[in-house]
Amino acid sequence: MHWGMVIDLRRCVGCHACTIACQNENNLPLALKYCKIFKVGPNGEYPNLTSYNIPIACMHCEEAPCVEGCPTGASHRREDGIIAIDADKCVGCQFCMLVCPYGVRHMNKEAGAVEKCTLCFERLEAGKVTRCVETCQLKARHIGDLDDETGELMRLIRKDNAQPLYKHLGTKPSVYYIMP
Amino acid sequence: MEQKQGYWGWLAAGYLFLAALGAMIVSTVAIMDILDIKVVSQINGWISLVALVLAGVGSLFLMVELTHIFRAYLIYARPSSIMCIGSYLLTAFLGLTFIYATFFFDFIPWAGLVVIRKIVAVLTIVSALGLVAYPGLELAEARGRTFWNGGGLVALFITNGAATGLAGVNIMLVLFGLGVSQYVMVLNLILTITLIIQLTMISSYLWGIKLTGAKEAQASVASLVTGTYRFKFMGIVVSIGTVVPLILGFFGSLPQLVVVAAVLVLVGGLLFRRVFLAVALRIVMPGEENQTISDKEAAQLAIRLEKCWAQKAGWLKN
Repeated sequence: MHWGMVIDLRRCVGCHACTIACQNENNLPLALKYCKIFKVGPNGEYPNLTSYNIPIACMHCEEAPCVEGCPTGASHRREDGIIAIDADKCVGCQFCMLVCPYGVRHMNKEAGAVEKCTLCFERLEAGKVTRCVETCQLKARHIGDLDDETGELMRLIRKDNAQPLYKHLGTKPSVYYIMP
Repeated sequence: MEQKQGYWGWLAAGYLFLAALGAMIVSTVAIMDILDIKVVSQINGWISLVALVLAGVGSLFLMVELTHIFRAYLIYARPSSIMCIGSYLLTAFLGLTFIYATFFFDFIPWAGLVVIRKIVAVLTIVSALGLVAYPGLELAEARGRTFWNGGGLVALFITNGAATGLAGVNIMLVLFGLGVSQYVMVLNLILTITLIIQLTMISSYLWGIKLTGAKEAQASVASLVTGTYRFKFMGIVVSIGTVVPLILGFFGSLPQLVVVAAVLVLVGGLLFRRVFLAVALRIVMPGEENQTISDKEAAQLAIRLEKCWAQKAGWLKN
């Protein structure tokens, strides 16, 4: 089992519903976002302009620099591929924040521990989908098993040539994007 | 896009500087010991203790930066992490330096055991070199901060550490009343050569990134040479911390000149670590540069919204 996600950027309209739902699910303050939406473009010259929105959250990398670098073992990779943080082990050295190439980790100053997207593993364990997937009205997000060659996720990746972001960094992200 | 690396600041730079300073001070005097230079029996004990205190204060800086100081023992928990390896090296260095220092005090029973002292000296040098080198490997783990991914970073840290260590020993030799001695003369010459190497290495490192580095790494170099960090880097690290002591080195080894040059090298060494930490920018996410709302603005908006919601809740109650 290896949980992964495909985000179809052709469908994402940048409504930020996933961001808000994630904040709601994780009881985050308004200024803290586990999932950010960036607007790319408009690029090109009129009338040939392109613009799209890209949601960025933890990529749950197979070779996660945050996990490799964590001196306490607080950042760890679960058997199902999700990168999780054990707040009781985090000493707040912020090395994981320093080495994460996607800049998706945040320091919770009250708890003194680093936090990030958990891929809603509690919901997944309960047989539900993640909150962002559930909320996305345009069905731009898909979650599934990357180990299941015949599953919906792998079918989408193959069909639409979905690619992870900044593949060249070698972190092997579990989040794939279908480019517009 | 990040304007600077905002996670590790002055405390981390202070730790890296003091640990490297302490480590290279001990390495210098331990090498003198291995080479059977007579003055060691007079100075090595106290100099090693000073180095121990410096590295100890540096490690305290590191502890202060943690949000959970009482869980600090956990940093030994994962030996495959470079930061954990660094903790082992620091602990080994502190222990070995203390043991090494004890060989130079007559009231210690093992003070006369020269062979064992030299074995400890070698082990101390090995741990010290590891301590100075590992930050280069640690920073190189940040794949998204390509400024630190250059192959010469470890060598650059070792060279700068060596320069600060030699400067530290020079200051202490002057304080011990050995300012007008052949030891200071030789060490000053080695320091001058080290500064030449440092200058060459810094130039090569930055030039290499400028020619072949990623966009963010090139922006980091521009920030050092012509941008935000120009004064700290070009003004202090390069000019005051390297070129001026280098020129002073050519004027001979008058104690006053040696001390001035050494202090400048130390200031340059601290700033070197500070700017090299701060300047490494993270790879930019697509569209990240288009973020129209800053974190500060978002926080202000959040406060305003929460206030409005509180007002609304109050209104609904009534």
